Amino acid sequence: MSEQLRESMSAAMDEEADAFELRRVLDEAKENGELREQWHRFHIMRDLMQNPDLRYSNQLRENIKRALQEPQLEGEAEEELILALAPLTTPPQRKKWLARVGGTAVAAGVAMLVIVNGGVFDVNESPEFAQAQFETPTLGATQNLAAAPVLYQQATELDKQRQNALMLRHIQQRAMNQASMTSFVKLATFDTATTAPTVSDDKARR
Amino acid sequence: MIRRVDKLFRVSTLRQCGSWLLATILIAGTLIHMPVWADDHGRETNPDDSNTQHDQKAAATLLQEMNAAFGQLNYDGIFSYLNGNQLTTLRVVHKLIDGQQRERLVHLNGAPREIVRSGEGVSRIVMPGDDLLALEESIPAGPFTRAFVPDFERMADTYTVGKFGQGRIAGRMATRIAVQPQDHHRYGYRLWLDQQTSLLLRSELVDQGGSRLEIFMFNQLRLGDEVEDSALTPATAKDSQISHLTLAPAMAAKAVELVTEQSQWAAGWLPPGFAMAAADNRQKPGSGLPVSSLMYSDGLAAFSIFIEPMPTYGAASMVSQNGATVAVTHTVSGQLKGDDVHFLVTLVGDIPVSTARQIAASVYRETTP
Repeated sequence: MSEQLRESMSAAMDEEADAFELRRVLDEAKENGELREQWHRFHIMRDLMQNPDLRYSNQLRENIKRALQEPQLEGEAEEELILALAPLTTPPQRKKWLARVGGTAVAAGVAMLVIVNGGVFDVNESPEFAQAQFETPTLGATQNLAAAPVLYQQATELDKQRQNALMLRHIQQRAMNQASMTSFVKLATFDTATTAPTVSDDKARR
Repeated sequence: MIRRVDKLFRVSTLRQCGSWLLATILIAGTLIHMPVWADDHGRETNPDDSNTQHDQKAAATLLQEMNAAFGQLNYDGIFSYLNGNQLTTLRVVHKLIDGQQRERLVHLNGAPREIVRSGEGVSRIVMPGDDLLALEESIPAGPFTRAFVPDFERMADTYTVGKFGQGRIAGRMATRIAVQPQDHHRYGYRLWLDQQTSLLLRSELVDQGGSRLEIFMFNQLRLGDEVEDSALTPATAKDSQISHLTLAPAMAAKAVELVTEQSQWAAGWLPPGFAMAAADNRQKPGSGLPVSSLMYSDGLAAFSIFIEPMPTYGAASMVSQNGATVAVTHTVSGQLKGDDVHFLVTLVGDIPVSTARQIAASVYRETTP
């Protein structure tokens, strides 16, 4: 993998990549298995450091911390990390790991699904979908999605309004069931203007 | 100095306390390894002194009494409500008249709103131009499902309760109670109960890091005969708009079970103690598009999951948070019977973001045979 591509991927991870760089990374990832694995490892590392709920070994966390804190060991540390993360990135072992965490960390912690302008980059598979024979789109399916609805990275006012409306519905439902003074407080104070400190899902992962 | 709570007792005794949590819980708090409080004078509460077995049982009794106090006492008070970074002031009037609960909640800041309750009937009064009206028109209408069937067997496995000293709220002495979850998938509560009447005077909801997400606190309170019937009359103004919220008729337990079983959607993973409490399918006003909803509860915390077809103009995957209430939206996409299908899954509830994301990500559609 070229250094430039690696930098572009890093920038994409940090949301510092411009549209061209992001497009380039995604296009390259379709053809480059090494890049996909690297991308996957980066997300595991990031989620691991930012989400204490994920159940990894403390040693793995320490290795990642060391890699981040000691730049001079970057090459060596990265190799160690690749080895350490390998069981999580090859399908059979990954399935085992997913089973260990209850099959839940799929999209929550590790899986990365980016759809930009109809392009799909999916590096994981949900066991739940597999059980339900309800398949998650894969890279191979991108050409079929040209006319499909688009999952945008930027929330629009319409998106915020939709989410607010569902938030209101939940609050009403709960208030009606609890039927007490405290349960109605949220309904009385629901502020449509301030209920949307919304961030995109990808930003929220950070 | 932060100390750990060592002696908390299981909530098993709460199984008898009916729906005490119905009254409590919107607001309040503690968490796993909840720090012991300093008391209201800044002194640290010693759990060894306050958590004797006797006191623990007394805490459970107090919670039962708190539930009763909410429904049976007459009170008229002004309270503050902090939700995230939004601080508001409200007035509540509650009175038992001819055996029926009458209640009036008045929003004293911002948009004039009132909620008036008479028994199970609830009316909401707003002024024209209130954005709440427009927002409400975009969600499925109709009666609300009776969704909270308390299951104290489950709750006993997920929360513990402790009694922690005393404090002073609105000029009244209060006993402090902590309701503490046993994992990081739900929030905990701190409660201040009036020592004379067991009425809830203050509650806090606190996240795992000890941050208070919501605070409810009386500033002024009148009790008993001081509360006048006239205080229950809503201050309707010209052009004010009244909407009525209703609950669906009670369903037999077996009917509820049947509805939830028939739902095509389900969460593939849930935190311990959570179970589906209700499910329904409705149509969105205007578009007529179907919206499936699922509600889950552990007997205390609750969240809803809404599933709707992806709009043709697309949508964003996003996370919002307002105080303790989080909303997570993402897509479920794939192939079904040879066709590309896309759905939006939105989870809303008072649970930690990480947990909400995990649950939302596990939502799947069951294939029909």
